Amino acid sequence: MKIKVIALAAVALQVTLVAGCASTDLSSPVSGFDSAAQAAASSFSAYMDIEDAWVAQQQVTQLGTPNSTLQIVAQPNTCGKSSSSCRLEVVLPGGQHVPYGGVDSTKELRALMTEIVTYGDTLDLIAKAGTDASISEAADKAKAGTGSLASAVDTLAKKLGHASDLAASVATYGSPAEGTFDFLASLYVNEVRLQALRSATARAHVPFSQGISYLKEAAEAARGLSVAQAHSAYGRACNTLDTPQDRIPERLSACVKAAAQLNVALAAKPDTLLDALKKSHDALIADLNKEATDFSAMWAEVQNMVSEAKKVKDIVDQYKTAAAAPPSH
Amino acid sequence: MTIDDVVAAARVANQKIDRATDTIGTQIGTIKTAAATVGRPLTVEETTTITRLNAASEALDDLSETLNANTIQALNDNARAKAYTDELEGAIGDLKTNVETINSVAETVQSITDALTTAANVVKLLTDIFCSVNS
Repeated sequence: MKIKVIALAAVALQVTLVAGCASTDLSSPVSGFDSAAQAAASSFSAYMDIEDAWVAQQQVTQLGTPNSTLQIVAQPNTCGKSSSSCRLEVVLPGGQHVPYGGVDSTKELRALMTEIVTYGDTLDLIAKAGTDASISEAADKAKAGTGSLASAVDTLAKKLGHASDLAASVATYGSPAEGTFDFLASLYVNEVRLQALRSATARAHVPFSQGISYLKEAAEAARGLSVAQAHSAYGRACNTLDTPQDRIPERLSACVKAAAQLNVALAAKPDTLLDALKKSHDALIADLNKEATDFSAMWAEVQNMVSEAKKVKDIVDQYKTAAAAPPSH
Repeated sequence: MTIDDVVAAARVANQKIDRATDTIGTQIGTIKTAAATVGRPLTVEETTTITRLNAASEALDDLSETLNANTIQALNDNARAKAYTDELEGAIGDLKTNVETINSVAETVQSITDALTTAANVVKLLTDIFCSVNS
């Protein structure tokens, strides 16, 4: 009866381990942040295009201005009869050569936004690295435990700061109980993943937050540029309809169209997406740090279970010995 | 003058330009509404005034375009953008190492599962013992 109770308790412990510590889903908050970064990048890029188009237009305007000191020339090794292409460039006062029509006045700002997107993508890679499927696949290949394998676990566990001395406890037991070790292995990789994400987001937090403020300033200025252009077009289209003769259908349509474009420019809030991105990053950090690190407790329980099982085995051995012994009476 | 000063000054200038432009728009609207309300066409003086106000408004829009474009260029040219990019690049380098580490851990998981099997098998052993004892 005593043996039965102990065995049932051990089975109950296994059930508790598996059911009580659900595997943490890290991919969801990370994926949310990655999506926010891509949405913000798309909006930001559109605004920087407005800026580059404005600068390109200024280039054209200046080239056509009487007494302009700008010069337009062929790019080296182009536009000759034996050349494979023909490209122009503008020579600015001071001798700087700028590709004609290929203005990129916002290169650094775009590079910063690109790095933020890359950052989100790489966090996503971490969240998806070592998937449960690959763990299960490895588990399927698992053979009976050996001392060297247990030592490998001890080494890895110690790297993560967990006390582990499985090597000393390893014995030659039978076939694996798959559900349990799949779960435990998943938990182990999840722990590595969680620590990597915590460390990565902590390091990137300052440059990320400050970089976002910087990009917001640029996006707000780009919106101002866009609104000014749209307002100017609106003025030209709608403020010249003063007499009945002016109000012909074509001009009225042009006014309505210009008003609609101004409406779009005014309604756009590029800084909102960047604010949302920053909030998403803050939320991600909060999520990563509030997740219960149940690996330590789990690890302790596993080792405790091994220890307790060995005791049970001893008791069983004693029971068997006692059962085999002749009656003492 | 730092880049922050430039951005702050541009913001103030933009607000003033926006207010002036809106005031002009209101004045034009007032003149047109007053004439339309009483059912008369605009007078020559009113038309001249509106033309001048429109020209002023367009000049302010041009000024706003230049101001905002220059602000963006100043932000782009400033070392801060590069500094943040460099810092993020460094962080991304670490992330890539992390991905490799995690993949390595996942590969080594066979070893992990083998050893964890030892613990899990104890439970099975208990069951076996239980069964053998009760058989």
